[in-house]
Amino acid sequence: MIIATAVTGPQGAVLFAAGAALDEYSLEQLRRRAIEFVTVSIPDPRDEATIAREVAEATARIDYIFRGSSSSARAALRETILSYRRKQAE
Amino acid sequence: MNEKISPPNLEALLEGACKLPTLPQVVTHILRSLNDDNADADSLVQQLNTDPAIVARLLAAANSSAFGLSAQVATTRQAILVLGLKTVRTITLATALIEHFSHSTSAFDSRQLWRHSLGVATCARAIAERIRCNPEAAFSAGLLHDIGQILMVAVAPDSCAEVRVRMRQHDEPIIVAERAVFGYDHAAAGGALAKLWNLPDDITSGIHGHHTPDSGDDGEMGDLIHIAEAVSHALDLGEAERNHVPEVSEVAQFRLGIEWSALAARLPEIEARYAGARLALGL
Repeated sequence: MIIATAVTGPQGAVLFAAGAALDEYSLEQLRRRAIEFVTVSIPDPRDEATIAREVAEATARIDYIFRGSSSSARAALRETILSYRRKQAE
Repeated sequence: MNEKISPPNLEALLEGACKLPTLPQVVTHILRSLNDDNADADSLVQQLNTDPAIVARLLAAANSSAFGLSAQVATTRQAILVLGLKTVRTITLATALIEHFSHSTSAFDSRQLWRHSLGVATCARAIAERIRCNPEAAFSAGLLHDIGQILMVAVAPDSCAEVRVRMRQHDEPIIVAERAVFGYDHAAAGGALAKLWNLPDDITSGIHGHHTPDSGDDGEMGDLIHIAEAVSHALDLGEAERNHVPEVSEVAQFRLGIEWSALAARLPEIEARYAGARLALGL
C-alpha cells in the first residue's frame, strides 16, 4: 500500500513523504509516534458512469443538508464541503 | 377530552433536574482537571477504577488491533500508557456520559444525540488545535453542548415530542421549534444545568452560547462550539437522515479567525478521528 499524502509529526516535520510504502516498518514507526491516521492510495475499480453517479449523489446530499437560506459564511462552508466531497467521489 | 400539559418554564425545568442521574464523579474529576497542569494520572486511575463500564471500554480500546500490541493490557494504568492520557480522557468522558444519560423516548433517540455530540466534539478539538485554544476543554464542551436536550426530554417528554412534530412538519430548526413550544431552547436549558452542576466556566459558555454566539456573552468557547457544530453538520457526522446545517455566524467565524479554506485540509483528519472514536465507543 502507498501513502498518498505526506505524514507529518506534531511539529510539522515530514515523517513519510507521499509515495512511500506502508509496510511493517512504517506502520511500527507510525504507532510509535502516535500518528492517528494516514491517507493511502488504492486502485479505483469504478468506471466513469459510477464516478459520475457518486459525484451526483454527494452533490444532492450537500444540497439537501444545506437547504434554506444562507449567510455568506454558511454559503462559503457549503462550497468548501462540496469541493471536498466531489474530490472524494472523483 | 385530552388536556394539553404546559411545558415547564426554565426554573421548573431545572427543579426537575433531579430526574437525571447525577453527573458521574469521574466526569466531574476530568472536567475540573482539564485546565490543571498538575493533574496526575494516579487520581484519574483511582476514579476510573470505580466504574467497570469505563474500565472495560478502555481495556477493549487498548487491546484492539489498532494499537498492534502482542501483550495483553490488563489494568487501567497500562491502558493509560498504551492509549495516552488524552485518549483515555476522551473515551472516559464519552463512555460515562453515554452510559448515564441514555434517556430515549419514541420521539427522541439519545444514541443519535451522542453520535452528533461526538461529531461536534471532534470538530471542536480540531478547530481548537488550530486557534491554540485548549483542545480537551473544547472536546468536552462539544460532547456536552446538547445536554439541555437530555434534561428537557427527561422532565417534559410530551412537550419534546411536540417539538419533534414541529421540526418534521415545518422543517423548523430545533431551536425555533423549542422556543415556540417551551419559550426557551436547549442551549439556555443546558447552560443553566451546567451552572447548577458547577461545571467549569468555559464549558458552561460552550453549552450556553452555541446557538447565540452573536451576543458575545459566551466568549471564545461559545464561538468555537457554534462553528464546530456547523462543520459537524456539514460533514454529516452523526448521519441523521434529516440533517440540516444550521445558520453560521460570520461574527463568530471572524472572531475565531477561522478560514474554511484552511480548515479544508483537516477535514479528512476530522472524519478519521470521528470514525475511530465511534468504533472505540461502540456508538
